[in-house]
Amino acid sequence: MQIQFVQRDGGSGLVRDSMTSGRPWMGSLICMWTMGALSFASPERGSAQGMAQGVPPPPNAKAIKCKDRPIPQLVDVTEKAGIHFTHSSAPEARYIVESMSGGVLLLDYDRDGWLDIYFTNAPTLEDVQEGKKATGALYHNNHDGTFTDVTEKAGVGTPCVAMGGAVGDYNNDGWPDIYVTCLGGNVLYRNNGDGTFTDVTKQAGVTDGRWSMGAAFGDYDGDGFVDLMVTNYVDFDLYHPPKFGSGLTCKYMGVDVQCGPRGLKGSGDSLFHNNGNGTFTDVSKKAGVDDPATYYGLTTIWADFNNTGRPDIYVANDSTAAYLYRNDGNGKFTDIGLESGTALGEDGHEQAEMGIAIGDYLHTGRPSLAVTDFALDNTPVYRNDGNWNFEDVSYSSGVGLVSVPWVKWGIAFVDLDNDGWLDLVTVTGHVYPQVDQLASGAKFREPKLVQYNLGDGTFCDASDQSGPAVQQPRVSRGLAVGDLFNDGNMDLVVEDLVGSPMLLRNPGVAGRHWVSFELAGTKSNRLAIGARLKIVVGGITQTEEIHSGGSYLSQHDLRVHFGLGAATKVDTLEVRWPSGAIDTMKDLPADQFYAVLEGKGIVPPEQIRPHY
Amino acid sequence: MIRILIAVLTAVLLGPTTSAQSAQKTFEGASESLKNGDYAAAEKGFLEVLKAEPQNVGALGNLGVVYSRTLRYARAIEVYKQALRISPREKGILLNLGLVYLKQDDYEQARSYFQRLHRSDPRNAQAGNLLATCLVYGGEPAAALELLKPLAASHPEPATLYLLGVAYSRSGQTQAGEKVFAKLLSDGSTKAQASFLLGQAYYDSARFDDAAQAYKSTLEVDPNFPNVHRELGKVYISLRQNEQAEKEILEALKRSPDDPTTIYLLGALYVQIERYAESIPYLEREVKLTPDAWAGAMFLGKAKQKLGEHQAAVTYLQQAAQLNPDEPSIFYLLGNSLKSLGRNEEAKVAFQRVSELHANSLNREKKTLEELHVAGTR
Repeated sequence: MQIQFVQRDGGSGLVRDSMTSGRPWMGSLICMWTMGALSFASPERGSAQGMAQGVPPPPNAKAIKCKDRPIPQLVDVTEKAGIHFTHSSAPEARYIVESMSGGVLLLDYDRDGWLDIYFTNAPTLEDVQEGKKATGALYHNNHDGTFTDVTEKAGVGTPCVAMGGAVGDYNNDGWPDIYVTCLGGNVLYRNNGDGTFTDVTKQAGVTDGRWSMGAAFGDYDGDGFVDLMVTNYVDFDLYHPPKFGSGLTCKYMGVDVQCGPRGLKGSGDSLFHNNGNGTFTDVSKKAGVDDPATYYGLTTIWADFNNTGRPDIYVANDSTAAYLYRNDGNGKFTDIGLESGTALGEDGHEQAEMGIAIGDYLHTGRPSLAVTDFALDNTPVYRNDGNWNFEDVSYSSGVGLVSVPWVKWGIAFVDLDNDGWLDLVTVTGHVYPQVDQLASGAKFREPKLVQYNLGDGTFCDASDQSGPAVQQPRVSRGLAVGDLFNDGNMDLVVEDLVGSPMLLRNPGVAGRHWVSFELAGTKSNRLAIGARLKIVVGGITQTEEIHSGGSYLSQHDLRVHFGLGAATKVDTLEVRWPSGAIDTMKDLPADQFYAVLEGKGIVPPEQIRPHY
Repeated sequence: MIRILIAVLTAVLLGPTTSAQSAQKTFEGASESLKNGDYAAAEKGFLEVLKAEPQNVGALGNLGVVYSRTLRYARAIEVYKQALRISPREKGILLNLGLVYLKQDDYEQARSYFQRLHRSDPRNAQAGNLLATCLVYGGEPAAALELLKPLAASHPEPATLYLLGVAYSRSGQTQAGEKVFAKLLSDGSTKAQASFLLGQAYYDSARFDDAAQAYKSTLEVDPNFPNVHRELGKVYISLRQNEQAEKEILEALKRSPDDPTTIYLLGALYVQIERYAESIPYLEREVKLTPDAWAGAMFLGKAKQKLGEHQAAVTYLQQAAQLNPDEPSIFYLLGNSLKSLGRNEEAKVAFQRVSELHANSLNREKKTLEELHVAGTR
């Protein structure tokens, strides 16, 4: 049987956009367009960091401008405050390790009732290779609007190639300790209570040794000692870095940039259980949080998402799915990120998650999340609907559209105007200095975002109404919020990757009241990390938890601040301690700082603070 | 008795010849039907031939063409592979099989067949172009350049030059790419074509404003240039200019009302801009026209999900998943709909697949960078 002629399928009619009527064959063109339709609206496919394919804003995406409300003018008081720290930077940022540092920690290290500030620092790659270090800084609050650099005295200047950190009292002696995350070995500084710190990393067993980024203390097993969750980013060799501009994942809009994180090998995460004797045990694998997929871990935070009384863990992963680890109560965790709706963007696209804000911005009693990510992708706002269900309300809340153009890092829910509703602040700054060459309009230096909670699930944008300092284009990374001047208004400390940080003083809104709580555990961990506070004021309930870590590799004020609007007292305060105990207090006058001791209620502050 | 014997002997001796002649006739008839676009008749005819002669490579190959023309790619692949098992070096089959994969953007699969074709005939420009296409869009522009440079020198056709330009751009040699595109544009006889190609190249490089300009130039030179409204619509989608995108795609649809790609685009756009109810008729039509295309089914599933019709959503998303088991979004959407229906265990499986696919993608990227000897890891 002879073989018949087989009609070739390469001519006309083969492909949807092939030529008919005798035009030259353009069969190759069938490759031009993919039926992978998710990509057809995203210009970022195949780019380097921030591989996320942002879904375009829907037509009903809101951008609500704030109007008819007082907006506090945030003032840059950095210079006036005597802060002279500068972060090391490499002008071209040819390596990813030169773009990621900049967490800032607020802590009252000397327990004098005033917040101090710790800035992290990392040398450039060139400096590392030449054996040079970069010095962080600890600034003591002088109580008069100024700060003094006490780094040398404290002994916390040059821990490592530092990224960020967290504050916790690991030995329950009442003195807050600092854990600094680093590339090549983290550092646990034990607070000696005399203005100095000692590096106790080795004996504590919490070095890790990889490229650590996020850290957060939390007591997952309720034994009264805070444990430590640490995330790791990329498996990076400082002496054999990936070549700038090579490969698909080292390009951004056609321009050569630093490689990664996609394309580079990731690193797993660590959970260290506090043994209660100054040492920790690595229980990462046993607990199920070791991240065998080696996603690119960034910020992490503990929070009781479902009111079980046990803290869960959220891990923001860069360019890969986030983790939401449900605490199963037996030393084990289950990742329910995908099922809960908090792991990915709409349609399941991976986002470059970097920083985490957590707060009950809706007064439901459940903490919701807002997570920062890359340019041309919106800040997801995962509204906690209960029972482990979260809905991304980014665009419908008004947060998303405003956030799209920027590369976003530190983020915080904070009541800036003391009206009793949590507002949202985001700091930004691009990754690639090279964007300045592009015609796209993207810039390396970017402004901050300030969005006010309208009390109905939406936020209005006041970024260009909050003072010139907010609009100043910068390359920011860490953000920590706290009442630095003890005036009842929440201020902002921003650490920049390039140049000096920014202390933004918040003058608040006249006539609005507030209250602040500093807690101390007895059965619970000393700094009461994980405690949940619920206040009722004129029929309105606000809830807050004490968190270690968060924002972008940063640490907020561990005191819990509530804005009260026009109310002059708190009707009820209920504290659910990590131990499970509940203390209730009533009729607390506003505009005061309260010290709360587990089992005792309101006490004089001296009773909860140790002394030199 | 003798008569019966003669009859039997005649039947035995002439039987196979008669049956062969019959199969030949059927084959010729089916081929004629194929030529005339009567695919149903062609399919029937070739299936009949194969019943009598299961190893008939010609019938298998042409049946593959029928399936391909009627957008039943999975079946086309099946019969082409069957043909190749019988005749592994049959160039026509290798080409057609590669093209079917290419139509579905499966560059990896397509490449292996074009590679075989190219090896057997290195001077064949078509095979070279197709292989280069797979290399360019499969993330190996450097390898594509090696192939395209001599090809462009010996066969400087628009398609080859275009591919060369894209390969240069994708490998970071932007200036060289621009030079090639300029050459394309300077050939007056192919100005519309060249502008169109340039539009595609710009689109591919995410230079959407430039792409829009190039397509508009195409329209200026030749208002009836095929598919330019559709491509312009795609650009506007990427520019997030939804109104203009809709306008262009509707124009494209007016000109080619049965083009599944355009129908799909409009449906997907409507989903993207949350006009879910409006998307349904287009996507349903597209799914009927291209039963092997996963993206339409996926978007239809998403639209149904957003309209709260989770059962229907699951049906379409499962269909999409079967057609493309490697697309994470499908499984993510599927997981969400299953969750909404309370089918939590099934939802878990779907989500697990999402994680697997993400992990695979990560590993592939790491491998690529390592192979380029640029990943400096411990």
